[in-house]
Order: sequence, then structure tokens, then C-alpha cells
Amino acid sequence: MELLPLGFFEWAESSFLGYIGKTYGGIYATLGQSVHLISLAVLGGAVLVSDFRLLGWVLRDVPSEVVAEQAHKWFKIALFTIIASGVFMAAAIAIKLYYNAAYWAKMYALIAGVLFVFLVRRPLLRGDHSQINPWVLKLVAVASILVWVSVAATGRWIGFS
Amino acid sequence: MTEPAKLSTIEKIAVASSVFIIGAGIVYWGLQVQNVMELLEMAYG
Repeated sequence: MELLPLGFFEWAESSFLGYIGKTYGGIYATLGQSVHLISLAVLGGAVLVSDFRLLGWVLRDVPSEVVAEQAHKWFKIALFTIIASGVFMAAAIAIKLYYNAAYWAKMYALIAGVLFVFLVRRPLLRGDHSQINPWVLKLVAVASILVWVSVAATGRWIGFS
Repeated sequence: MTEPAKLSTIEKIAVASSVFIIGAGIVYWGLQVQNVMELLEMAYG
């Protein structure tokens, strides 16, 4: 199910952003794709280091509160950059994306991930982790990894569909 | 015998949303694997 009407995608492709992305391949590749992929790597790193710490797999000598706090700062920067570069890239091929099932799967996963992080995960992890049931921490870590792996996987899938 | 600690509201919300995400992920990726297997069967028998 599409979240936005086709008319919006037609407008996006004919907009200034769409024109720049379609006309100048170098700008699309550098400002769009490379920034998007580097940001995805930073976001993935922030998610994995924080969630692996909650699972007790890495950085066990560092308090999980510290890891979660530091990782969240980088997560926010990466998320902002991913969305900005993603909008630029999407504008260039907007109509094609409207008919792409992988694109909509990615959008749903991204919305679920953002809502999960800012409405559930962050409020939960803001306090003292020793006061939280360890199984809840582990469950949240697994769900977080799954949702962001789904965002990355469906995102790459767009390029192959 | 110690009584198990009760979950706070935010913990309950975290459990419910995590279970929903994990369940939806299993269903979605399960269907994708099933579709690929059907496609391979149609292609190669």
C-alpha cells in the first residue's frame, strides 16, 4: 500500500531536486549515493554497537548507558543525513520508485524503526539499565537489529528490482 | 522464594512493540523466502 499519491512523485521528479539528480550523474553519485551509503554505515554501526552491548556481546567493560548515549548521538546525525540524501536520490527516480514494492517496504521499515527508536527504545534506555529487566533489554536489542537490517536490506533491494 | 519483579509501563510497551516488530519481520522475510523458492521452482522445476 502506497503512503503517498502518484501525483506527489510526479511533482518530485519534475522538481529542481529531481532535475539536478537526473541531469548530473556526478552530483547524484557523490551527494546522493555515497553520502547515503556512508550514513547508512554510521547508522548501522551505532545500532549494532548499542544493541550488541545490550546483548552483552561487546564492550562489556563499558556501562551500557554510556554506549547507548554515545551511539544515539551518532544515530541521530546518520538518520538526518540518510533522510536528506535519500530524498535527493528519490526525487531523481520518483515515478519509478512509486511502482517499486521494495521502496514501500523500506519506507514502512524506516517508519517503524524511527517510531521504535524515539518512542520506545530511547525512553527505555535513558535511565539506569540495571533497573530494567535484562530480557526486556535483549528483546529490544533483537527487534532493533531486525528493523534496521530490514531497512538496509529493502533499501539495497530497490537497486535490484 | 522471591517474587518475580513486575514490569514497568515502559517495559511492557517495549516488550509489546518488540514482539510486534519481530513477528512482522518473520512474516515479511518468510514470505520473501517463500516467493523466491516458488520462482526458482518455476524456473528450474
